[in-house]
Amino acid sequence: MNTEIKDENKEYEQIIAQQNQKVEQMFSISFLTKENTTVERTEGGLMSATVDGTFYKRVRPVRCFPFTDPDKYISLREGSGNESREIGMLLNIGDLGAEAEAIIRNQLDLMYFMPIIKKILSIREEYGYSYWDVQTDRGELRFTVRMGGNSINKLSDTRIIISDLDANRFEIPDTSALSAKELKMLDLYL
Amino acid sequence: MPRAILSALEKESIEPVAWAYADLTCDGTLEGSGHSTANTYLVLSATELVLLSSKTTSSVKTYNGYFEKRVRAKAATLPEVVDSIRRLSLADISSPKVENLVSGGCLLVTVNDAERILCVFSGQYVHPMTDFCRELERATKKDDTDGAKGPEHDPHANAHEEETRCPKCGMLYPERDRKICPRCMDKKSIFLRVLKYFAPFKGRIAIMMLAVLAGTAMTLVLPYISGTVLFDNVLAKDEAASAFLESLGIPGQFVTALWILAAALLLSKLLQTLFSIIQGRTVASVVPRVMKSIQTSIFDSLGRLSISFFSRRQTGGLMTRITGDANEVMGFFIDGLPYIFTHAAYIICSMVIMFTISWELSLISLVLIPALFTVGFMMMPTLWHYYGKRHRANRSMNARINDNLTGARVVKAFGREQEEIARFDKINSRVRRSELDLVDFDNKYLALFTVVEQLAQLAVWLVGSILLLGPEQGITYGVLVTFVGYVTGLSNPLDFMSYAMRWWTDSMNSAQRIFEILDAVPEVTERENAIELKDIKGKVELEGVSFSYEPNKPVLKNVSLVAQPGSMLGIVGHSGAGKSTIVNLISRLYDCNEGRILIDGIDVRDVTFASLRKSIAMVSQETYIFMGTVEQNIAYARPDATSAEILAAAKAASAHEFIMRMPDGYNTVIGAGGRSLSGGERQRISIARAILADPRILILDEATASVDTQTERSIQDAIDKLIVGRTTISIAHRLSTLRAADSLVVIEHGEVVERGTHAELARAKGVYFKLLQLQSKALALKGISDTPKDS
Repeated sequence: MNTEIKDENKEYEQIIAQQNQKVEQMFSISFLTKENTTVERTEGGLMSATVDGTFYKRVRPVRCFPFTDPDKYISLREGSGNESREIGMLLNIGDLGAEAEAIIRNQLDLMYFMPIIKKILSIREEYGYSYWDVQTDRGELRFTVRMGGNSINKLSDTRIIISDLDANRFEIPDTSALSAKELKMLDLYL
Repeated sequence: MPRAILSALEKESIEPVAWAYADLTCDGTLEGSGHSTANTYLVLSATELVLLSSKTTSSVKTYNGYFEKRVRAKAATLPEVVDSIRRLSLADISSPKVENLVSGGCLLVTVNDAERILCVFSGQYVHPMTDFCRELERATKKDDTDGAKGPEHDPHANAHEEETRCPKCGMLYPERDRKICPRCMDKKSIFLRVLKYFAPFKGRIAIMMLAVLAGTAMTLVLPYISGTVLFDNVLAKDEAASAFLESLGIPGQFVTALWILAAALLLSKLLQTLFSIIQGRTVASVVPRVMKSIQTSIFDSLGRLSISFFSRRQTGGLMTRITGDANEVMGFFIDGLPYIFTHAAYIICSMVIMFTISWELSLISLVLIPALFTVGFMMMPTLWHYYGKRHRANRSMNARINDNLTGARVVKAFGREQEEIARFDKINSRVRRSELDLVDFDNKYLALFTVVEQLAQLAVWLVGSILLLGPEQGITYGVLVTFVGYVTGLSNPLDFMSYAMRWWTDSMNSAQRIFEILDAVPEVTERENAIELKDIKGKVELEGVSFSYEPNKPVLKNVSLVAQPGSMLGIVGHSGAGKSTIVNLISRLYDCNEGRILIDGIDVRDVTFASLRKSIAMVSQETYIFMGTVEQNIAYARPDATSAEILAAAKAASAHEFIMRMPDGYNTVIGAGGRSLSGGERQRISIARAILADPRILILDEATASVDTQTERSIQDAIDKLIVGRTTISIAHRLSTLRAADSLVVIEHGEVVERGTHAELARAKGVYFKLLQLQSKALALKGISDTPKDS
């Protein structure tokens, strides 16, 4: 009887110890360095990594602060969607060396594809949608934005992210660089 | 598919089974990714996956939804030139998947054990690409299983491709779930339908219209009296005036004539006022009545509609529909429509009069009138825009205020008052700015409008004076004054007309929205000759039930279960497994897509709603307390219950004690605006409600999930009393709640994975066992061993 209770207690203690370990993992961030991490570009255009001797076939870099601090705090993650898990964090994008940085940047560019609006050609509104015709770093683009709601996200007083119907994003990095005429067109939508 | 791609495929003799398009890049190298001119076509044939990349010379990329008023010639889509073809044998390919990127996505496949990125595409291609990926998966799998599992075609697979734009003009529908194009909708028939609501008030409407017309006539008469009659007849002492005075027997008394004139002016002013009073009074008596009948019919049809109608829409949206849309429609019919007629009548009449007086002057004003109209028409949209902006700014200020008041405790606790004030200041100055912008533009608009208007008058004065002084004496002074009076009078109607069109479109859109509710067909309907469910034993059966709220996303898959009369069936599963859906189906808030649900062997679809819902009572996690007294809330399902019955029910639900602690006892007003109750108290009231309803079948949906352990005890006691002699279906994720269950069913991803008694399932060491272990471990961690290994 006594031993049974003791066994049971042992079992619980083990569980608690395991839990504590997990909790610790959950609550601290492990930063990756040149010493413990290497990344490689795979033949298929993706990225793999070796961290502390463990090889991860597919690793995705994700920014913690994609808008405010894009080159710092980059989480390297395995798996995708809801099952993704952090392997470790890069404090600076260049922490693993220039070659690694190029690979990571390439993956980030894929992940965060967003044309930059250079010039607004026209914005027109009709029945709940606005129709934009803009010049971007990717050529002239035309897209449609639903009015109302959160389609236009003001990151700061001068920086704007616009999401179209299908959640494609377009950025105006600095509205003060626009001409007075463009600003006037834009102003009605801010 | 473009011709170039087709001919390239033909040349390579590839027979396409399915295809998809990606707009960003195609090669796995990702070089130059994201160029808007890159096109990739993925073509699936029986044995291969072919990637064709091409370049268009078109420099403009158009995203989904973009719409141009004037459809330009299709020359923009220049012929494509295929510049590379890659062929991959399906045998080498496995596990294709679409991965979401921040915007858009990419298609990945494993080729010879190496994962490869095939193409990248923007948002609008995610859905079609997902379909293509499914197709590809099927094709690659077929090789493994050798067609053992035939290609199952999902009828809903293409559901998301349904039209989102108007087939007539190609414009996107303003509301996604509403296939109505405000530009092309049949405004006339909607208009006539709204008019029907006014039919009972024909007489009054006629009076109103008469008053409006008479008022207009007075307005038309005024300039004539104060112009031509005053100057040319009376002051000029002409023949007509003399003849008039003679007929009155007072020849030559022109001062008296002046008095008569003044009296006539006063009279017509008075009449004008009188008519506007009559008009106002009839409007005031008709509008509230029509409003009431429209709102009542909306509310009626809301009651008739199935629950799915409500869950698909936001409650806020429905509220605006009932109040806002009805207001919008009324506003137009009362403040707009009569004036459209009168203003139109005024414009036409005064033009006719003006032309009969002097065609030269009329021509001059005719040139300027369109100018006036254009100013209104051109500037109005921008003015509306500023109104909209002010509205949005106000709304976000309200949201901020609301946010702060709700979070007042947190703000205080962290001492962030100053920062919050600063934040509020920022938003407040935005409101100020938008208000100033609006006023600014409004002034500009008014100024411009007035300038044009003044110019028109000035031109009339000028030309009039020239005519007056000219050698031919084309007109008299009185005519000129009359004329200017008419020109001035025109500006208001013209201003009105310039925005009446928009008003009309908006109000017809509102009316259309109202009619949508009125015309909505409930998805769950009572069939003809439905059976009354009477004296049932309470056996509940599900036979192969499948169900999905949205096409393509099955929630329940072929679920079968039985709850014997008088027994308790427990349903266990993770959140989102489909437990609550089963309950929704049993009480027929929805109908299942496949299979059937039987109560005492009778399909629920053959039973009247009233008798079905009388036989079933539900106690759920979300308790709703209506505005009213405790008594009314308990007796909600049976308003005819006696006080003794209500007391007994409350007692059995262990609610009696806390009710008696409130000063007004059972007459205490609770619910919104009344005394607030704790979660446990609300729960016990809802149990009392269920006890009083005395159903044969009782459904407990996470009835004790949101209360503390102690309260749970007392609620559990109440439930224990409640379930005696009834068929109970109990859903819980806290397994301790289901101790008393006679049998248990474990649901995972919409399927029954285990069934049996508690002991059987614990022995089976399956999903249930895992859940049990997990929960006792969690308890162990907390230092509580509630059920130490009672299996």
